[in-house]
Amino acid sequence: MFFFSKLLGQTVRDVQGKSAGTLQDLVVTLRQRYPNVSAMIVKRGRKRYVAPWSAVASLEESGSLLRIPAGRLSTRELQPDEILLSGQVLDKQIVDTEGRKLIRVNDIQLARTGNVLRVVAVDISSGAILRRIGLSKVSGRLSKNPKPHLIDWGNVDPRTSDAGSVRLTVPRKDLSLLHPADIAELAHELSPEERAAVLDALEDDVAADAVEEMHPSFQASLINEMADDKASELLSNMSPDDAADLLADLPPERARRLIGMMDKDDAEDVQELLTYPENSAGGIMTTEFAHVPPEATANEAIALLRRQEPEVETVYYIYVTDKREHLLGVFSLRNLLREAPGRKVREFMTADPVSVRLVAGEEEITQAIAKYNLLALPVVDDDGVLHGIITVDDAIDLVLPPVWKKRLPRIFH
Amino acid sequence: MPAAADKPGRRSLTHIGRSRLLIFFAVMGPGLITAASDNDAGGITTWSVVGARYGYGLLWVLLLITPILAVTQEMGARMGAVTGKGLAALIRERFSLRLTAFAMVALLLANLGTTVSEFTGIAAAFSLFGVPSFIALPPIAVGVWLLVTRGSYRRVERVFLALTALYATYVIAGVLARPDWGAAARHTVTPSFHSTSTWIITVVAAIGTTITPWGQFFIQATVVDKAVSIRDYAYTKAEVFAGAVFTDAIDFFIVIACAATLFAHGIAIDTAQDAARALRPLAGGFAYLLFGAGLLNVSVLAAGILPLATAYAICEAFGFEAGLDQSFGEAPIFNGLLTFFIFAPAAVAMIPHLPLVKVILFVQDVNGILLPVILIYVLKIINDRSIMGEHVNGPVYNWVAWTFSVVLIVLTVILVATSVPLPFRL
Repeated sequence: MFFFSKLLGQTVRDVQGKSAGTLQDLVVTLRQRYPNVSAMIVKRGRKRYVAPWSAVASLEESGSLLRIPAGRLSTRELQPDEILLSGQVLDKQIVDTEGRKLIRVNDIQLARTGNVLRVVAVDISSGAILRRIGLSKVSGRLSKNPKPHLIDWGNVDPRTSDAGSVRLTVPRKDLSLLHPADIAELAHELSPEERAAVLDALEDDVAADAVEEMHPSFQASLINEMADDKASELLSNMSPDDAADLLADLPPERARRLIGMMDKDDAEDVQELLTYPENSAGGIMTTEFAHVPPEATANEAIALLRRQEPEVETVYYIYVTDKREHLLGVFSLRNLLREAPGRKVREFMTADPVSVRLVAGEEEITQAIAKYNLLALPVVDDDGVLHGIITVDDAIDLVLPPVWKKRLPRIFH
Repeated sequence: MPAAADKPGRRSLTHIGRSRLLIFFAVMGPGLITAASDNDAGGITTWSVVGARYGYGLLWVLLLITPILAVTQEMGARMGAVTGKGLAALIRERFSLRLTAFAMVALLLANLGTTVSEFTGIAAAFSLFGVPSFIALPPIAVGVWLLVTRGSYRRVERVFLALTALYATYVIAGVLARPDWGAAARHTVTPSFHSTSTWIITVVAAIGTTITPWGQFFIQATVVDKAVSIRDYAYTKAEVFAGAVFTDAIDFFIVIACAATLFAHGIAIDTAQDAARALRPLAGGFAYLLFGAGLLNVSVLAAGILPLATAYAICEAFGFEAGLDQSFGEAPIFNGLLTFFIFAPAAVAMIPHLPLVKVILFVQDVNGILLPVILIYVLKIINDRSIMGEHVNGPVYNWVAWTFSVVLIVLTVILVATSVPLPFRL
């Protein structure tokens, strides 16, 4: 095993022993967990040539040998699954999916298995830096065993590096295994292009969840960079209350345009939410809640719930509404498990549940949720019509400092 | 579900006006913060010396470097808005590791020196009241360290920044000193040169205290912090320009005030007391209090910001774990650097019988010497299309920035060549 940085700049000799140039980069194919080197970039004068791996006889720290004469070197474009180790990975920031943070690649570890040379790990230690600037003796004196700090390549995702025009066709599942909140936190440290690249790589619903967790100004800058069709699709996938908050921060013409492009139902929900002041119950609530008629049985309620489940914010509370959507009562998933299947919902529901008006303020909302230990609080108008619910996670956001303080700014505390 | 309204209602209407204003306030800050921090102990002292030594004679320098300051700050802000990364990260990604290390060493030296000058400023402020540095500095250093590492720094920072308004006193002092406005105006637009090494030292110090390496990193980091996107950038750009003009306007009045009071009577500035005298027309006996309070205020603020910014830059460049919310074990290099960058300069400033004013000037010279190094990195990055896309420098910017860098390099070469040993010629 050896380090990539030690290979850079070494002389490359051709089959006749003549110097063909210096090793400038290695091309690796991202198909397997440990990508294999598929080509070598040889620099001669101002020109760069691509030597396919089959043309490489040997590759050592002292230099490398080709099987072909120098004159037969040519160039080619990068394939979709290929990246450059020096140009796109070394010294760049990539995602450590296990540590859930961004790391800067100080060096790359390669290992040989038979004829194949693979990337196995990245080194993020300070020892790597000292080694590369030629001060490895210093690091040797500073600590008895200057160990590299290695992160297994299987645990990183290099796609956040400025890949330029390289688009990967083989999706890596790693990023989507991270919790959306972690993805959002990582995204805060990336540049705008990297952020867009990360979201592109995620599936729609995961991307929407991640965007929901981002700080509003990042959300706004993200939407600013996106084309209208992608932006409206993202907004459709987000829960309506978060989409409404995002739209409220955009220039009105663009917001109107995006709403027009969203799915009709989502657009209606969002527009309704936008009519309420931001800090009122109407502005905080989501319109996606589970509801059943009072005459439904427990069994029927479960069936209805199954159908509504993909769309609703929470299935733990189910609201009972009449034909004109007045809030009659509420019961929980626990009730459904406990009650006899044939029993009507109106018999075991909690009638006249705790609720707040559309114009209720933040203090009233959080006090109600805290006092009654609720997971969600229904929001009704003066006629008792149920308009939406406020879930406990949104209520917590009201109590804690706003999101942008949760993420400590870099210079200031 | 209730039927939706046909068009967005109340909220959007009130929000149209709010949106523009909100954008402005949300992104406001980088330019003004950097501008306010620019008038630190080094700035106040240097421009006071300029006024005391040469009267209005160097005002043309101030006029020249104001647009250059605006240009360099704008470049930093632009890089931050386009890439979303700090300058140290950009250097690391664009240049070899050796060149990155070189830049970081330059920044480190400049910043350590500047932090020394901040603590020297604190010592000078206390000397106005007869408190020696070895009594005043240790608790202040510990206090700054606690403040920075324990948090609430932001709140304190706001208070400090607000108090920098105290320097408006120089504006008033300048007017009350009844300066020769005609002469001031003439010297602002007419260059005059002296061939003494003291003159070069003063000029380089004046440049070095206004356009600093740390300011270059700082504006970019603040812009990144506020997540200013390139679309909202117009506001930031305007604010950065305004900040440059504002900070140099204060310097203008500092020069005038010192020229009218000190230069007119042939008083050189060797101590803080001399500089405080410039405020006499305004504050009479209270001159000391005002000057001391203001000097203490800006010095403590900068003594907190600089170590923090330096530690962040170095960790950013080399990929070390950094963050104030992390303990010593989690981010050992960051916290270690931070601690060293606060206490080492404080210790230096406590050296007995330190010629405080001379030290401050020396440090500004170091800033001026190292500035072209950083500027060259910046110019290479900001002209790189693969990083900046379409937001690379226009030809005018490049011309201004490159010419300035070359002139500054020439000046510093002359400076170093003619002053051996440097400190004693100050």
